[in-house]
Amino acid sequence: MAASYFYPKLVRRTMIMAGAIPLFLGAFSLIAALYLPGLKMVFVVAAGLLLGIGGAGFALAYQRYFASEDPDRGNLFLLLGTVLAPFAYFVIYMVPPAMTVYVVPLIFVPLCALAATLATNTIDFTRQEFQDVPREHPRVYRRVMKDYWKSAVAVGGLGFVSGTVHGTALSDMNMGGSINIAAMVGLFLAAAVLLLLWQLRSFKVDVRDLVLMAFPIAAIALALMPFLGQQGYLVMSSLVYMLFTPVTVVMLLQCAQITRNRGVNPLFVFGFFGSIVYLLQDFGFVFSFWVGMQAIDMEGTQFAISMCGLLVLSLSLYVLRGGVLLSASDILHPDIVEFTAMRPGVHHQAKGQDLIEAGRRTAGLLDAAPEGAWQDVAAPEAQAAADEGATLQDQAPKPRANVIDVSPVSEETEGNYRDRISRCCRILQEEHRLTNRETEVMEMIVRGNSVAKIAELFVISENTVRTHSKHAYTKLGVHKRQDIIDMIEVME
Amino acid sequence: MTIASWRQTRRSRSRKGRERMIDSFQYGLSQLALLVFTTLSPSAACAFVIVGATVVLSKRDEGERVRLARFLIIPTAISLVGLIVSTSHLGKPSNSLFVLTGIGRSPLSNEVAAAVVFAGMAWLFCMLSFTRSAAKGPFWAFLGFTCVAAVAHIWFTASAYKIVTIVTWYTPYTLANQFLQAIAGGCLLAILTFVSAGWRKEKRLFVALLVVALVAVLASAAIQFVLMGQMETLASALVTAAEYVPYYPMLVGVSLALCVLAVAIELVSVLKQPLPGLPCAIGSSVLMLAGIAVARFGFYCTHLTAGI
Repeated sequence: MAASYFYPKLVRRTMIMAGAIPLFLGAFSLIAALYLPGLKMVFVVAAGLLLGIGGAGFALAYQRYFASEDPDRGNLFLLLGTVLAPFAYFVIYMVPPAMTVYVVPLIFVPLCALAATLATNTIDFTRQEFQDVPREHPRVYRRVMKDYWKSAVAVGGLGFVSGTVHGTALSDMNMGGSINIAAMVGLFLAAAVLLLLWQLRSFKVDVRDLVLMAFPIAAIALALMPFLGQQGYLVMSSLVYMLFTPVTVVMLLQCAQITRNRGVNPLFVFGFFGSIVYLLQDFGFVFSFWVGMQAIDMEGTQFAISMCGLLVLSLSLYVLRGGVLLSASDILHPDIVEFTAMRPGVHHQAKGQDLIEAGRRTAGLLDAAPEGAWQDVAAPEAQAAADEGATLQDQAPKPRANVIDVSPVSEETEGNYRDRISRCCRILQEEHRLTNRETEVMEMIVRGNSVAKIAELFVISENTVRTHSKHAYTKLGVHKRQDIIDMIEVME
Repeated sequence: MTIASWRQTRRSRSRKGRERMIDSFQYGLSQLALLVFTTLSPSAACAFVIVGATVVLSKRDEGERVRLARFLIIPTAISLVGLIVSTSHLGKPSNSLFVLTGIGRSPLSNEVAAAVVFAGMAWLFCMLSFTRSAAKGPFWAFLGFTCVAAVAHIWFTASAYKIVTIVTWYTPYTLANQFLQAIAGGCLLAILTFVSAGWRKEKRLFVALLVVALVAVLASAAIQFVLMGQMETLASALVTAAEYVPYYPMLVGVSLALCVLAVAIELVSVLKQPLPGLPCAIGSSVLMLAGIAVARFGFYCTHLTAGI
């Protein structure tokens, strides 16, 4: 994450080698540990570090590739790869143990490096998110961190629990095997279900919703683990690990979407999420290992690990929900007690004024704005949406108008439009398969906002605004703002 | 000898015969890993040589030749699968390198070393075919050396089975059979590689390869028939080869049928259709390899040591 922020060009060149070389060296460290028993611990620790670095490097390289593609292709390739990954894993599982340590570095690592290189060669590095110099737009990157740190911590809570489970598996080979299988099953099911749903209908997926769904299951499993005996502990541990993997799949999809929407380097986004999630997972692993070393009996160890996992998971949920502060979705909850200000504030008055103005524009006053000169008009709703960190993206596969939307739900969905312009923009989005961000930018352009203003409202760079507008214009087949206005005017 | 004692002797001999037959069958099954290796790897090596030679000698443009070179990944992958499966009896990773300590004096070490060298060179070649240095002089030279390694691999694999203490294997037929089976399998795998790479218009080449495969299959069957005829004379201290492997003729027949069927299917595909199809190429390759596997199974079943 830091490297992509401070040295984006360097990271672009070295990413694949940064994964392949440590993986290669790590595997040979394991081989060396076999033949040099006196230095076994040194080589094993080195192997662990190198394999971890190498694995992360490859993951970043692939994430960069998926994020660089258009939403349909990128998400499709990511999900297809995730569906096939368990089969590749089981192929390695079938390799005789005598050959595994040689097959991985000599066959699989070069193959992965080759595939990653061929994929990377297709990336258009002239795209804005790769040309962007992060230090010139620190506000954009700070905003990304501010908008998504809660999601990352929530996923990290599950990561911590999975780490504790993995740490326990060190002392029990059966458990290790079960956990690995559970992880692969979870990955396969998550990707397969998403792919299948995508073929049938449009839908939205949110990392936060997934974590909320997973929480009760994980919490119950953690609470029961110490009381069900060794077999029950094994089953519950596998279940908990299986919950973590689907959430990481959606997290990857969301990272790619953030890259496209915000115009930020994909390595930064994934590095940000990965730093939090996998750091928490490592904490869980180390904690579990430490508890195991404390010479407590088996039941005591399991109890300590389960309860600590439950605590961390609950805390992460607390963070996700915003603590004692109400989130936007809470405001819509029917049971919420509402306090209306006794003296209406400027915000509410301005909101009404803006709607009237929007109505006037709709009535035909849109042409008042000179051609090519976007008026710098404030849009409180857009400001509120930007402050909420709303990030909508429509990803529709070509043969059908189905979309996967990996985002929080904003106020403007499912027919809940604030005015005719908004509704017409959504219709254009459906007809011409614009992404949510492109639609938002288009709408802001139609409403007369300048590039600078849009960039400020959405907390993205001006180049990103121009990129989104260029894409929108291309998809609509127009060359100027007036053309879009004309399209809206002829719509019902 | 009374009738009762004659019957008892006959029953005793039948029971012993069944036991020996089961022993031979079980021995064949126990060598499944090596069966897979000796079926896949030599055939794949031969396919590599055929396709490699075509890549070098063809007059097509460089782009098409590099594309075909990249598809050498097919015989390479098949060879690697055979090599990896063969290591299932090694147990621990540390045993893998100890197998190679007898290079030069041990036929088994030579066999493993030759297989590893060929697989490694072929794999490296396939990786290099995707780089910018492909289609240059050193690249084609490396392909030539890899083809030499392929031939060496087939030779050392076949030689590893000419063991003086195994009466049924210590014949000139062992080496010849392995080569003929490699050629038969290699021809069909080569066609599969060509078709996968989009080289589908080479009808003359395909027909020539199929004819060669058919000749190799028939020659191999002839050798096995000759061996069948000698089975009464090949014996240990306790049993003849004919008694030990009474089902050997059946295995030879099944193997021959599968191999001929494979050639026939591919021949029809090449001659009757505008362009040979990939499903046919895959199916006929699988049939040919299955036929070779049955023959190899029969070979392992005839493992009859001199003495007791």
